[in-house]
Amino acid sequence: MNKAQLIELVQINCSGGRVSKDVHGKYHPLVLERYIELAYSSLLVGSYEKNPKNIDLYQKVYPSVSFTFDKTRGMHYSELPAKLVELPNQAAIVHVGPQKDHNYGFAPVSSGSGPIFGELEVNLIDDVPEYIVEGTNIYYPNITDDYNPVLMKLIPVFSAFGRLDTIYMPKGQDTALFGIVNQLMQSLKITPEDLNNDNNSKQV
Amino acid sequence: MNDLLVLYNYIEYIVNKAQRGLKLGPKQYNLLLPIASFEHFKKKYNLPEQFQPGMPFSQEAYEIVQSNIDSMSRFKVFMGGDDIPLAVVNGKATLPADYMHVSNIGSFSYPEGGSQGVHVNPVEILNDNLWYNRLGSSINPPSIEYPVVRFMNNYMEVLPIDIKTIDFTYLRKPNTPNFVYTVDPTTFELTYNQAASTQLDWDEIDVIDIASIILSKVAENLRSQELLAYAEKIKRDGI
Repeated sequence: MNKAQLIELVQINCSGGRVSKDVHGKYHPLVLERYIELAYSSLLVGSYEKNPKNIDLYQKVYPSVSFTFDKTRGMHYSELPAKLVELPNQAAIVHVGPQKDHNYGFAPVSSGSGPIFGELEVNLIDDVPEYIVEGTNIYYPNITDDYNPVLMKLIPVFSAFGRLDTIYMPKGQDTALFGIVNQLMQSLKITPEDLNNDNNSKQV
Repeated sequence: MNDLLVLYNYIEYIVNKAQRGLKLGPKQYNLLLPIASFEHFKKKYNLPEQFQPGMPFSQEAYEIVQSNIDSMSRFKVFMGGDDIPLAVVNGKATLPADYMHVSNIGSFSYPEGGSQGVHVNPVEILNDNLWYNRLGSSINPPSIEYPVVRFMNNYMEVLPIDIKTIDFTYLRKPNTPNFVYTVDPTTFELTYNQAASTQLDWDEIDVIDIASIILSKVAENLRSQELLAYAEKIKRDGI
């Protein structure tokens, strides 16, 4: 199922079968997308904690992420091309490496480990580019311009997928997604929309 | 029945059933025809008078059942497809002169450079109560894929402003019926001019209901409780 179909299916489910133009406004696709995103991320985290090897299907490849030089920090950096699912140990960043050589990947380094690695001899003899994740950016302490742009394999949140991108769900969790979304949307369902423009937030 | 003379004769027949000289003149007939037509249109679209607080539902509403769709579809005007869509200039779309009620609005876009085909976008109709909240929304603000409109005085405000055309389906106003006739000055005989007349803009089935509306108004005018009761019975029972 692709992303657009999944959102539409939730919309159909919420509206009791047919999506009229009025219902389309109440269960807006972009709002549903956010609800599905919460459910999707939660299921992915659960699946990862059970078996960390089963994450290949959920990744999206960003083949040309360019980096620029941050003069203040004295390092190259890229903006992450998508918001990521918050998996433990930054597992949502599956691979960062050169655009063409898939057998070669940059080395992940934790943000606070710079002072320690900097003092080790291995840091002097090993020229594998490293990357450090800082919020929505990735810094490269020892990269050269030859690697620009880089390839990233990431596990993004639901909203980062394109309309027609196929969405894979953790094994056996397809229907669980609907359960979670329904649960999250309970208040939307039971509270009728107040369309009366009467300066009164309560329903008449 | 869908001829003004037949309808006139029918009304005359009912009105004059007591043969006491109760009569509907052609001038009064011409006065009542457009009012009855609009009243019937109002009933077919929906009657706010039947709404309950917090429940804006009437017994009959636009496109609620197939018979309503059959009655109202003759008033549908589609601006889009092979016809010219409604132009939007700087976020404003002027409502057509014969506009009565909106039926549906849509737009088309070509996301991601057209690589994913045409995206059909239902245009959401907002009222003023929702307008600025949606404009300032961080989740679903107006976008090419999810445009919004609100109705203003004789135009619609359309956002985002990049939208240049919309597919607009609306209900036009019914024609104003006109019973054209001449009266012989000697014999006072009425001669109907069918070619010059403007007929009612409704199916034959609906003309029965319009006849009842006219009859009840004539009954009020003639102070005939009997006729009023008869007209109201037809309106209530449908036949």
